[in-house]
Amino acid sequence: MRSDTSRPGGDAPDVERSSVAAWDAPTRIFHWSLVILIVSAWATFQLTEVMGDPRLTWHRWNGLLLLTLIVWRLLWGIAGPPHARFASFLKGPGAIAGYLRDLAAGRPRRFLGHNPAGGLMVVSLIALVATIGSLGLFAVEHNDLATGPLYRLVGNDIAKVLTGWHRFLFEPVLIALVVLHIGVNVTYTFVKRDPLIPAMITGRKPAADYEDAGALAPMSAEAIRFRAFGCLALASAIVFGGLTALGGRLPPWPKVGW
Amino acid sequence: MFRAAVAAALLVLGTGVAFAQNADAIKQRKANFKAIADAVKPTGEMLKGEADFDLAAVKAAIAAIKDKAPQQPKLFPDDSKEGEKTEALPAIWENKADFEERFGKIAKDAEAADASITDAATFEEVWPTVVGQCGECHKKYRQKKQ
Repeated sequence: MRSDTSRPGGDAPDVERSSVAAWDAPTRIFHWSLVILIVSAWATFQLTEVMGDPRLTWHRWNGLLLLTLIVWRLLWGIAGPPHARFASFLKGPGAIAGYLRDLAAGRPRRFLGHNPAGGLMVVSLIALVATIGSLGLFAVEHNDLATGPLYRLVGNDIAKVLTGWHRFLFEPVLIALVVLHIGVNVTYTFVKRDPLIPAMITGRKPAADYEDAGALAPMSAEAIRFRAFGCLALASAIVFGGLTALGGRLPPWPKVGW
Repeated sequence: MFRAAVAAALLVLGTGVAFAQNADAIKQRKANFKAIADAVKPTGEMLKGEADFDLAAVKAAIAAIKDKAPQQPKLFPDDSKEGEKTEALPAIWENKADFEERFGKIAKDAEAADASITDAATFEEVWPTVVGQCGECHKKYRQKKQ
């Protein structure tokens, strides 16, 4: 008998039979958009000199997009399809410890969505980025060239403290967590042969006996699309409506062309 | 052996003397930076929307930069890398040319801003390109505050 998964360029029905859907398209787009926006958040702060952007206009808009994306993910964790839902992968300390114990004892358990430890990582990353982004709303550049939209609510002294946290939670805290996240996923993919990285790109995993398969009712492609855009509209309304309601000052438009 | 001990003692002594000598350079450059920071502060409040545009305050900041910035390059001699709670990073002495050029540039740009800033609009446009140079230099050459 031929192994479907090892056959290069297998025709569609074979692939369908040998792999199963794990991640919906919006969740994957979210993930890679988050990667891009975190890198560009760093770059638009570090490279202001070559960009000729002393007032951090790119960095500030980048942050607002990042916050919108994070709010979208929170909504998606409630309204999205099974494996994107917090209810499906948020586990208590006992379950997480149990999973890690099994892993250490050489009894790896397979999950179609996030495993209990992965769920903790995902929630930690989301919470951390949300916190860094929210602190940025109150931040002040150290020579007063730029402020977050809600800077005025707290004033200069508190803003300086919050800015310190804004930076500290990025470097080293977020960087350390991201390094761990990447390291674990590389290990699963290449050492444990549980292809988590391809799954976040293609959305599919090899057919296998997954603990959490069919835990929640699946969702039609149409419903996913409709809900994803609905969540995006709602997330934008929450972020930009919220800032407006709080009397926030949005950043000036970035100048295009360096 | 004895020679080595004498050499070591001289080296230790020499380092101590070097610190004492250069405390003045460090103190002086810090005083200059402080004078610039104090003069620039009101303009930051204008940029943050906390204070109204005040041309006199902008002129004072320009004067401070024009006066103090050109004095700074010579206040970073090779033996002033440590002491007096300096926040100067070793990168300064590894990139001496770039570091020194920056003081000339900000003084020149401040001078140009003196002519081009006439009202709130030109201030918003021009001033960040001058004061922005402070932060860019700090990013490369000053210890991060914890």
